[in-house]
Amino acid sequence: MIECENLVKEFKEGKIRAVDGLTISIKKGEIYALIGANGSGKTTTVNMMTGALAPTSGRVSVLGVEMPEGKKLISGRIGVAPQEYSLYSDLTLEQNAGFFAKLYGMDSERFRKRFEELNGILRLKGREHSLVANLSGGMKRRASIECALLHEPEVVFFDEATVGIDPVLRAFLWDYFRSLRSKGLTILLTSHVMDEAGKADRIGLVRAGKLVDEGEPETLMARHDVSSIEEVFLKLSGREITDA
Amino acid sequence: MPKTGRFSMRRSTAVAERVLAQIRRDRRTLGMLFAMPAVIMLIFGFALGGQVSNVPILVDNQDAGYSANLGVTGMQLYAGSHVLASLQTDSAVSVTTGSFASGRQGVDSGAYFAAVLIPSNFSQVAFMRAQGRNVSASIQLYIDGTKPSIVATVLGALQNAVQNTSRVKGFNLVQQYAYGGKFSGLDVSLPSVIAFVLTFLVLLISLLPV
Repeated sequence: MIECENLVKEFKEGKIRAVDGLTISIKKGEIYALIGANGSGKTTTVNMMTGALAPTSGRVSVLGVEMPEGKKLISGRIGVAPQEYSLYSDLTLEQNAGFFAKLYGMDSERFRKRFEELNGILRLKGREHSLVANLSGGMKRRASIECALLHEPEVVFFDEATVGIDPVLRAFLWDYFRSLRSKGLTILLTSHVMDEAGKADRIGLVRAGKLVDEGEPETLMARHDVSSIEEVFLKLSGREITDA
Repeated sequence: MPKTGRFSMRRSTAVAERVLAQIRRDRRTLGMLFAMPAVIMLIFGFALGGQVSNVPILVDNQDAGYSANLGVTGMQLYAGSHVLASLQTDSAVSVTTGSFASGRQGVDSGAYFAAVLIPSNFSQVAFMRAQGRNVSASIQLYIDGTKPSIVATVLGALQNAVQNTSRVKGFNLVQQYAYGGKFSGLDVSLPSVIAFVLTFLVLLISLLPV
């Protein structure tokens, strides 16, 4: 479903190597968490997977299509909730969702039905006509997720989707992610919050653009003989403070 | 398979609708789009426009008239007098009659804005032109050209009067400027400069925190 092979991304003529030979394979219907410290290359990896960035070397394919060349071919089949809100704060929630729906080529009837359904699931009912600027941080996060899911994509990328939201909402979103997985949706999420990464089916630990370990949460903990993913991460990262 | 071309009408329409929706909520942009041009037009209208009336001019009608022989009966034609009468009824100008020389002096001294000389053969030429003859006469105009709106008013009044009278072409208007009349690049570009400065000022003011 998502394949990365020896993926490299360099900036500033090679002075910065944000992603350094990353190889990942994510299966259909899997929740994969890419975790790492700030600046470890998670967002750059997601950007290459979604076709927003071209890799310096290596290859990445999503739904069997090479990226970034084929991004237009699959833009209607993938959803992206970026780390920074991609919502227009001077438009209402409905106008934002309507805009993305039009970009995805959804007709009005389908959009209306789906928007109502997602508003119910993501507990945004009653805020349809609120300006995004007036929504709380958690609501903006849910609105961003709503826009990513409107067109019923097959693969969704959540870049730090659950960062900065309260534990109740986070638990709710994870339940929702699992319900999506049960419907066959493939989810790749990035996070630097280790305890929530433990809820994913598989975890990839990234450090300085390199995949330092990968596996199911229990397998990783057992392999490193620790009791939490956070400890796995600290063990692998060497407790270094990286650039945020 | 979906199209992979760079341009998509659907996307462009969606973006245009989104931008319009954003502008509808953005009072500052709305102000820049509609209120500012209206204000600038009002200022310009006030500064550069306006009705010019009762511009003092002197007319020297030297037209001697023309006795036309139409076979059985003759006809006396006084086209110059008609032009003069037409000018006298035009509220745009305030006509004094006198010699062209005194008119020129009046323009030089600022008493008149223009002096007009209707030539002695004016009626004759008007008649001959009506008969299809290829003749012409010159109306002389000595004018203060420092104020373009007044120049335009005098020329307009004179042309109207001549056209109302003869309804035929064939009269040359020989213009001589007492002052001004030659517009420099600055004269042409000054309104644009003023508009730019005003636009820029409004933009700066609108960017101030509310």
